[in-house]
Amino acid sequence: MMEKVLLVDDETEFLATLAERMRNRGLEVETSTSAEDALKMVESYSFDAILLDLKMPGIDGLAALKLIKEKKPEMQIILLTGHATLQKGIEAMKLGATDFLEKPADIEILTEKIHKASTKKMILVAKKAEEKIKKIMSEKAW
Amino acid sequence: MTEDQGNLWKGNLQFFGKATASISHEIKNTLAIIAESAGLLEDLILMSEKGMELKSGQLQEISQRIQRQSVRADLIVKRLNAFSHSSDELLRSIDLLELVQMVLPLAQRFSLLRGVTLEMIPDSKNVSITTDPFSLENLLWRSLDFAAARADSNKSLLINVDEDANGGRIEISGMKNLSSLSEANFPGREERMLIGHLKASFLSEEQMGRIFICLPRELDRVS
Repeated sequence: MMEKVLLVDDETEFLATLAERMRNRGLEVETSTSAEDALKMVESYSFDAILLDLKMPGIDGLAALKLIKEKKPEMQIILLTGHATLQKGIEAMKLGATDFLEKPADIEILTEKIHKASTKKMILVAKKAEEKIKKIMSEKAW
Repeated sequence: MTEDQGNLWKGNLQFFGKATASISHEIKNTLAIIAESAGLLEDLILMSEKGMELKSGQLQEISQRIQRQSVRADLIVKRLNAFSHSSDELLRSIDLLELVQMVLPLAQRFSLLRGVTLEMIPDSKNVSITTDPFSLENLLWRSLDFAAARADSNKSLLINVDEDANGGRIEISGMKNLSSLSEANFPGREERMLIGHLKASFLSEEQMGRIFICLPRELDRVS
């Protein structure tokens, strides 16, 4: 099954080019030029991973990361930045980012990280479902 | 060097750091697009070697994208060069409009992160003054940053350059009703230091959401 990815970046030409390269590698890709629109898309559609630019007008990458994680804790989010620093990386990981990469990232490494993120999400969703079933069974004393 | 001179230099150096960091970020963005476009060309070549047809329209689009970003990067580097050279002389005759036009793109990136655009009023005037250009750029940058944080619902600041009896004047309008600038602590310590150094005056029409930086025609010495 094709993995579905949401790319979020205010640079439209970067977005378009990266999206095409990912589609060439078998990924299903949706794009958004703002975190505000991305948040609406996350509500409506299911994504295996999100690639989020750090610096954007309006809601920035870290704020968007926090908001998405609050609503969908199992969502895997990879942050992209023009200048990766240790401080920013730590802040991102503390907020629950799956990974933190500097642009332009090697496409093969990026694709591999998306595959791993997608697998991680599947495991988390399966675990959540299992816990829900156990809870129901325990309530019904089966 | 006095303590005030030291603080002024420190403030200007911090401004230089912030501005050049912002410029480097912009250049990185254009390079990222160029790199991804080159990567996409490589992808298409590999795919064509496996039998996929290469479409000339697609190749042209990628080529034009690379050219656009190269032109963009070149413009950014030209601005960086002009900005860097503005610190060559501590006292120089400048065109106030040209100085403002140079600072606006530098400040635009930060204002856009707040969703605010910066626009020059078309009939702004060329006004010749003798001043410390770099300190003036720093003061203007700080004023634009303050104004962008308080932009009204139009989310657009208008900047005008005009001549007055004593020299030149930069006007920034488009802010929400500034009930009291002192509550906002503007101008603060750093700005007051720059205003004093430039022998400028800072005025506001709070109800109209406008601030003015008034500059003398001749700054006779730089301490």
